[in-house]
Amino acid sequence: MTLDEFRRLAETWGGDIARWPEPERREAEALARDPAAAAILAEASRLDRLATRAAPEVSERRAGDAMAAVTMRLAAERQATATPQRLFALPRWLAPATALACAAVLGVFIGLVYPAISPNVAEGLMFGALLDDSIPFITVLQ
Amino acid sequence: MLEGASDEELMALVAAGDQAAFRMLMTRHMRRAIRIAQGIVGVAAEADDIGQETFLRVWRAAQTFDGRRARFTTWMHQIVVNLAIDRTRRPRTEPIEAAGEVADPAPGALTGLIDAEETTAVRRALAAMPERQRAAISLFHFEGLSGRDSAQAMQLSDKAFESLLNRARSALRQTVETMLGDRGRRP
Repeated sequence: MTLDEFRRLAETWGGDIARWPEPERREAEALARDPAAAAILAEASRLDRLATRAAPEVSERRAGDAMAAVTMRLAAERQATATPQRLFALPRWLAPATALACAAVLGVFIGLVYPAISPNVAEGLMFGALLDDSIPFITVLQ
Repeated sequence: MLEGASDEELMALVAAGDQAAFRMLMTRHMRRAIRIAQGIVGVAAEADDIGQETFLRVWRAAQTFDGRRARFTTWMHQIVVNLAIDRTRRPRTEPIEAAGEVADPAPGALTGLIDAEETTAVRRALAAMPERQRAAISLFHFEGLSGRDSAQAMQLSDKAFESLLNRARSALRQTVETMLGDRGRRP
């Protein structure tokens, strides 16, 4: 290894030969005993120290805040996607059964609240309410 | 139990939806993710965002990670570096050096003043560099990664990273020498 090669490696990898590419280290360590090579290493080490000192500082608190933010963002995402999934997760065959159950409940409710109206009107109201919410059934009752 | 698990073992649990394993990974690596990002983007608030975004991606893409083929840290560093370099290409509202100012040391502490001046000079020199050179300095010097690990984090060949680091250090040295005069050349 020539002194120029040594200089090029020091300028690239810095003053710590242990951080140089492994195949170059043995020859470099031998050459480093030369005063000229030692001066090159000292200059490279000076730049290493300057560069390392400029590293940004990140406190535990900043990292903790970022972790909390990640957790909240994931929780919000999960919540946003979970509700529709639950609704559409009903088996398809259950939809008619659910509609029938609702109709039965509505029928009982109308029968109890408005026992005097004719069965035909009640039936019409029930299906109207189920199938078409534009029917003004409250108006009809009045 | 999770404390003793390797990052790759934790990732296998994260891929199965284990939130405790995910928190453990964040505890281990969030600071480093933010620090690498800040070394590249130079602005603390943006670095915090990138740290968050990195771990959101880790969670969402956990099933694509193969711990038999790559280390978690290599994968995470790649995500951070890509996000940070993308961020530097957006229009900026805050100058990079604003995040890099050093607090004044106590009055009369001459050594501290010199150190602070030098550190400010280096940060200004870094701010003036292309973002990929800043990334090389950040990974190799700030984080102390090996040349090979730094190259992998930047998805470069060893030779390409060596060339990039050489240019980055050369630019840093020239700018610091200009800013500090003879002191910048003193070993």
